Amino acid sequence: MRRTKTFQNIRRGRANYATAGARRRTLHRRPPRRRAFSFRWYWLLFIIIMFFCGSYVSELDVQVRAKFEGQRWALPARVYASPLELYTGLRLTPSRLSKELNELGYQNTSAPKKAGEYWHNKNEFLIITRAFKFWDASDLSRTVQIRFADNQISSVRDLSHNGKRASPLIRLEPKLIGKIYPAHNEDRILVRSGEVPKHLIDALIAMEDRNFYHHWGVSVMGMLRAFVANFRAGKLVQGGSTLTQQLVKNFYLSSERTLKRKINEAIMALLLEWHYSKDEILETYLNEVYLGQSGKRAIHGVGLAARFYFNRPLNELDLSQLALLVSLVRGASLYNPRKHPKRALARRNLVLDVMVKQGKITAAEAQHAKAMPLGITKKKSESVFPYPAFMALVRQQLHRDYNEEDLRSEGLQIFTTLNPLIQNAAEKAMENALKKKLEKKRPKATNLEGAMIVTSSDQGEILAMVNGKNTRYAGFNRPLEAKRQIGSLMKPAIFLTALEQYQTYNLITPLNDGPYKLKTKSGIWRPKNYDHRYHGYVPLYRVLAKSYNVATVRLGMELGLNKITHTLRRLGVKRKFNRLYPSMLLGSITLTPLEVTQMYQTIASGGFRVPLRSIRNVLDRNGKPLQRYSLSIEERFDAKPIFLLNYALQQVMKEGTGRYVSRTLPKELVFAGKTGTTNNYRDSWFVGFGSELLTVTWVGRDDNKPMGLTGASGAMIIWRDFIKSVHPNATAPITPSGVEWRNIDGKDIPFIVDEQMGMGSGSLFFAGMY
Amino acid sequence: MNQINKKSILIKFILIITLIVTVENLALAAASDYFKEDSSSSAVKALLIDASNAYKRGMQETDPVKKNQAFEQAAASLERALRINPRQPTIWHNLAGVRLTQGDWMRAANLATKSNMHAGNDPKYYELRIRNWMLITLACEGMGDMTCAREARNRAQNLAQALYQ
Repeated sequence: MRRTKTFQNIRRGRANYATAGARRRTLHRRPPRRRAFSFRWYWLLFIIIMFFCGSYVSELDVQVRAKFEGQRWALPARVYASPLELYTGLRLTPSRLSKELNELGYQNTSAPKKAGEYWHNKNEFLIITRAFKFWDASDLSRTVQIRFADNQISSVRDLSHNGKRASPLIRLEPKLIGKIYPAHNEDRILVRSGEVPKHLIDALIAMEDRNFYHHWGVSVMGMLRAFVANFRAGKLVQGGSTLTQQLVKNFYLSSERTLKRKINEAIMALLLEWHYSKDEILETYLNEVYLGQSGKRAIHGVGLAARFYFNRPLNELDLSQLALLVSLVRGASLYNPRKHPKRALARRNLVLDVMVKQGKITAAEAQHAKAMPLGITKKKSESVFPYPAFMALVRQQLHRDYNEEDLRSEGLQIFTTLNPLIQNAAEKAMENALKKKLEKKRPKATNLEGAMIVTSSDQGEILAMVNGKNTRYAGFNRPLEAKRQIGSLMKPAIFLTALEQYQTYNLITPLNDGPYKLKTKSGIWRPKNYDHRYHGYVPLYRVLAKSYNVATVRLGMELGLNKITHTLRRLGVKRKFNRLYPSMLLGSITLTPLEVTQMYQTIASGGFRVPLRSIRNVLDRNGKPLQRYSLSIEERFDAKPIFLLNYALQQVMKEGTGRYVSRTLPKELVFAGKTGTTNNYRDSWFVGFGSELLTVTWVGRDDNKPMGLTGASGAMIIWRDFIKSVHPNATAPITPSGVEWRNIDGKDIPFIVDEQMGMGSGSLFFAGMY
Repeated sequence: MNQINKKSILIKFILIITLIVTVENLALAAASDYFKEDSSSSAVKALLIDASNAYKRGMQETDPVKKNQAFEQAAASLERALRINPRQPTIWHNLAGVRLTQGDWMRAANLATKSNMHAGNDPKYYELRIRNWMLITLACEGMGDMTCAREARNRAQNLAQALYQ
């Protein structure tokens, strides 16, 4: 606003000055006459023409300024995985670290000199990290030495502070895992003029507009030179447009080639130069220029082009790479280095030659750069993103706080919880097990699909989400949308309800697994065990471990369906059940894998409901913090009955339905788990958790046909393979105060001895919360 | 007004002491020689120091927006530490302390309860458990729930008696 006013004042000032000048000249040339004013018709014509010209120019002027000063571009939101944090004691293999570095575009060299380079030899790394702005801190570039021993990081040293200092924690920049594009699929990464390498600007000016710093937006000499060159060559070899004109053409005007457009272009170029500095114009040019195409997506600006062609930030590119970017200005598809490498190489070398001719670089520098290969990455970086299922969840959570328009245009930076190492291990486990093991196991087991969700046990961060065996394809999102019967996954809710009544039930309370029938509205129901046998009186924990149906139904009916539904609610299941049927005790209710995860999260975290989160925080395009999704927990169950339930779920792995598979896992890992199988083997479920990770796995067919696998012979196999590959921490839960261990028939079993139940068991400040 | 002031001074006192003591404890634990140097805790330690600094900054800040930012910064560092060691009761306790200072009573009480859960019966954490119950007492008072406050205070006293007798 202020700027506009000043500008008008300036214009008015100039106009006044012009009139005064004219008057002075008049005074000088002609002596004053008595007759003050004599009318000439062409004066009027002149005034009218000037009026129309002036208003036309000022109209263009409004256009020029409005677009230049407002938000110049719609920027896609950028979605990041969680960063890899390197610290002593972290379980990581050297090969995984080098893979991670390569994916981030770090260059493996023998002597790293600048950010984005590293050296690797067996168990030792030297990395120069890139600076990155996170929500909580701006991490500077650091030179770090990392050593490994026994597939663990054994030391992290920061070499950037003169002496070799032990550094507790180094964070690599996060991997980009997705973008939310503007309506026209325009994509760019903004660069500021200060960050642009000098060679790039030199090359651009040498090739496109050598008088850039001296002209006023239009260069008559340039046009003449181009005309002569074209005339000599007999074809169009050189354009006469200045960079300013090119910018105007791309930024403001359509691509039609008419005289009117040419005139507009020239006027607007002059206006642009009048209002703005050369630096501002150049910066805008560098961000606007079209440099490639990836499917529907247009690659604009040098920042994105650096990523797209070299998978590196612009400031890390060398002379030969910068020359290549400049060579694309004239024809991004003509000189496309992926399609026409020879042509691109020749054009790049031409750029280098011109730079030498104009004294921008030495012949030796050019020689060195010409000897370099193109260095283009095979993969079009930042083009295809590998985790569509997880991205769908992120978008769902984003939509609660942001509207679609802002997501598509504001250039938000979204930091998620996804852990690429865990995600990749989970994907591999799912693909391998489904294709190579499970589909070959049973004749019915064809067209198997699956879903897997991995979260952190205590914090509820979603670390991985796998959708089916072709995880790269977006489509039916099973983890979020597949509503399936949960089978025996229901049972912990029943046993937890019992164990909360600690005066009546403990882990060795004998439960009757003898024949049982009950009257329902649809007739008499006789629940059966999977082995079609009855087992008499069985201790409570073993009923859960062996997943006996008959004793469970009897217990559930004793406790009451209402109470059990209430427990489900407290566990975090939000879905409404219209009517309660006894068959729900055996898991006839349907839930999605995500809902199952939320339910078991409460058990894995020791009785605390933890909302599942996929987003940690959001920054705006300039790195200013907008929002943080902080950790929030709510005690829903006392720690003691949860501890007992957890014990029973550990027995699932030791003597229950999970014993065969868990035998193949390292002994020191303590896991709790529950298998689930539904009628006629339509669904195979397994939930497993330790002190670090909670994993929910489902296997079945999309058409809900039987496929012959139980929870243990299907989903649990995938889980086992996954655990073997990531080897998470899994230590026994801490015995809460108020629980004592007693030896019963040679087996240590925990009992609740404290009469005082926890503050949070719904008795005090959490009453009435659910 | 006076009462609120008194309470906030009490809160400040407890939290600063707690943060200082816990950071020192960790440093001591890492330095003591019977304990094999567990260097992974050095990352946690660094983050606890970051959190403590941000927290102190928040206490001194007068501008409410900046104050809140500093506390969130402290919380973010603590959550980062939890990703490295989710079972460290001290981290949960400090996170509870930050929320208490912000007046987020319910969340503070829940986090302190979680800290107690991970403390279990370990004698090393008796003192921390007393702190947690004191913190819950304040949170209950903040919510105006006197029954809960009384109960929490009793727990703190019982534990303290057991410890110092």
